[in-house]
Amino acid sequence: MMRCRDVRKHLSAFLDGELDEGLRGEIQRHLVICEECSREYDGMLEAVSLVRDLPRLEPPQDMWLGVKAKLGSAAKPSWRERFQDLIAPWVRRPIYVALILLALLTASGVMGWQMFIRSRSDISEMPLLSLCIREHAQYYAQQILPPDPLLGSEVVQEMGTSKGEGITSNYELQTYISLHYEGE
Amino acid sequence: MKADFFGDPQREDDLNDEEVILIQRLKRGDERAFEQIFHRYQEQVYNVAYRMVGNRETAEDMTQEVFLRVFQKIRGFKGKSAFSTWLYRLTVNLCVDHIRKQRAHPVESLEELVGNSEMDVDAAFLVDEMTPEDELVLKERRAAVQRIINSLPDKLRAVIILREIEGLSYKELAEALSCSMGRVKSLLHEARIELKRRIEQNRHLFKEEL
Repeated sequence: MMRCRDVRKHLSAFLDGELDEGLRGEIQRHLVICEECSREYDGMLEAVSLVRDLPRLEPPQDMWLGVKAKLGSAAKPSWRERFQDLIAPWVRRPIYVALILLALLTASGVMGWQMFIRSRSDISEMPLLSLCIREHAQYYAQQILPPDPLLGSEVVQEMGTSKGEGITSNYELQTYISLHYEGE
Repeated sequence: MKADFFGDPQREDDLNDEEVILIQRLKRGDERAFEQIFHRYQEQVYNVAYRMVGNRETAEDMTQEVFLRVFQKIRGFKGKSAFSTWLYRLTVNLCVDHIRKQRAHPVESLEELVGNSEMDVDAAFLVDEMTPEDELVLKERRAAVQRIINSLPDKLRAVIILREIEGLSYKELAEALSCSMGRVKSLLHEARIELKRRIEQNRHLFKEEL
């Protein structure tokens, strides 16, 4: 036998027919014999009926005209709303956001590493310079240095920007190369 | 007239394809589709708004505002719930926002509300053969019920209106109020207890049987 307190907890769902058959039967039997709970249920039913009996109202005839008039200005989404609409699908799918962030982090990491390498270019360019000097030395050794001073000038120019600063002639370059190879 | 195709699966199925097309057209900014949607749902929105705010003029403003929001936000509607449920949610939320803003000037008691009631609002729904006295009693009773609804806390008011007037199922209520089915059950229970208590407090307004 259910207690009144338990029955009253279920009266709203009972009224809607939302209880399983067993519970509904128990409450039905309780309401037959319990005057207080029965009164409680009738009161609830009456309150609900008063609301259900309220008439539906006809909306004003010209309401669409009002909406249409406002549509021209207010209904156009603001820039903020457009932006929100644009990002909404992304925000709703955090995996996309995570992937984009990961890609950005990777790209910035690669760029940062390249900048770091470039900042130490005097070291990184040494093999190139060394190769250049080596080739130049070989040309000298084989007496096949082109008469055109352009090659020499280029080498001088390149060296002038890094380690061989101050070398302005082939003689100085030859001296530098000899020293360089002796050093190696 | 009830919002008859809500809760009627047959009619809802009949409208489904057409509704989907209308919504897709609206998403592309088609104003004619918007107008059709407005005419289809204005009665539903207006009635919920009226029962939420308790006055015609504000209900009209709320209805217009709801449809402007529909036009602006339709791209955010993904069809996870029925369009009508989404519309109920928009309507209730806008009305609750409005009511909260109005609370800058709170009404102290039900008696004060009685003085501001819209007694003429249901005039068109009186039974022809009623005597003038009966008409008056019925109008007073309806106005009193409306005032009691308006005196309920926001969530309880919304759940009572959507369930008892609009006839939403528990599942639809859960979607419209963004809560669980369990929460719907407890809210509805609380709202009905509170409604009954307030009606009993004003028993003198309801003693006449019509």
